[in-house]
Amino acid sequence: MSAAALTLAALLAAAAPAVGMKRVPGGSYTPFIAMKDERPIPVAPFELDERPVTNAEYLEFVRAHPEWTRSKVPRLLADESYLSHWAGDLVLGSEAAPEQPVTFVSWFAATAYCRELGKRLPSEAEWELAANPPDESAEAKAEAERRILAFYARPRSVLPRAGVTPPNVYGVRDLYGVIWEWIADWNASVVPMDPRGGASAQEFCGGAAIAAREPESYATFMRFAFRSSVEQHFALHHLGFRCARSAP
Amino acid sequence: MSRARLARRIAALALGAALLAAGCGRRDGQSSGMSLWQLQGRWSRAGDGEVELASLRGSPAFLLLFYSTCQSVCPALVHDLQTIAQKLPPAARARLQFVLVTIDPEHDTVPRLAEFAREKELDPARWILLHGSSEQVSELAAAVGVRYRPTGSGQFTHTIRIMLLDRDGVEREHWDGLDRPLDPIVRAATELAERG
Repeated sequence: MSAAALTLAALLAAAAPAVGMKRVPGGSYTPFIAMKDERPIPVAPFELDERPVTNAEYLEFVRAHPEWTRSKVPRLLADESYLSHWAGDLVLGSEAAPEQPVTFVSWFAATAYCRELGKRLPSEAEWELAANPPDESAEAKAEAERRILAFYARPRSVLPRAGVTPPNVYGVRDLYGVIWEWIADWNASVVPMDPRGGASAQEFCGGAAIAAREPESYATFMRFAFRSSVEQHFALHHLGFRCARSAP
Repeated sequence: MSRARLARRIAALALGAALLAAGCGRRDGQSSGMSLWQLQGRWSRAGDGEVELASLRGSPAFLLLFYSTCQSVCPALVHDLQTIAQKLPPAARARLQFVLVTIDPEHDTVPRLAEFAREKELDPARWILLHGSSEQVSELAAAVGVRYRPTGSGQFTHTIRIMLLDRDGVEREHWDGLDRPLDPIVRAATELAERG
């Protein structure tokens, strides 16, 4: 790397304030699609990035860890779409603005990024709890549901900058309406895609016991279906992430 | 520098070295980045201290993610692997490893896994039972596309999958479900073992 590039990296690092983290009180999480005997999961208080990780922030990480550049990343850990919207290994280019959420990153990459910062990906329970505050009014819930469905239905090409949507009761932004997000226990999403059983159900032990709760929450179902269908080395256009950590 | 950070640094260096090694020795450049054995971290091997996955390079392997207290399909899967082992020609059997990784590290402690291996009379020379952190298990499962979720009563819902890896730790084939004949698996493993 040239000295100029190093200087630029240092400038970028100095210029960009670290993302703020918001405290989410603990609570109890009942999975939308619960196993037969699955009980509400206690969730300890935790902190969540107030917005998704941006291209600029991810670029810093890749500079420090060249094994995560798109030309070096092992195929096991990220498919060929990984950072395909960047102009080069260490160049964002016109398709990836610094302040946009980073997308086209795999679960492995997202996990490595958070670990590097002493954080981790939020669990399903944490993410869903942050996104569905239990004390939110019925009105707010309905409004959130409407916005989510509008987002899931919209054909999207250009991502807004990260942190653009209004904060929820915890001060967390962009949980809906911008991107889909990786979670730590992504591979705990097991949804038999054919509810009548058949081949897909037989590939799971216990799959027949899965039963959806609250069938009216279609948006939540969409997230579960999405998680269960996306493999963790995939790098997709509208799939990014944010980090979490346990509350001190 | 904290110990964790130092460990990560070392891990990163090791990854670099492993990738270099993989790149040099490979016939098939396309799949050099696909080895499962590049995943970092130390695992406890039942009855034999700690290992890194990189140490499993060199022999083709069956890989199964399981848990020892499974009441439904896991016993059948382990039994299937034992049957496969018996059906293999002796030369092929001697070359293959059988790697079993628990998806329930909390309950499947290392002594518990060792006890399981004794109960099932698994040959300690060929059967490698591994215990890792929940993060390590999650990462390995992610790399092979195995999904698992606790059901709340100590059991798991999980993908039923037997995987066959080549000597570099690259998955060559897998078989899902229980309703499949074993002979094609035996044939595939024999061919892989004979090819070296």
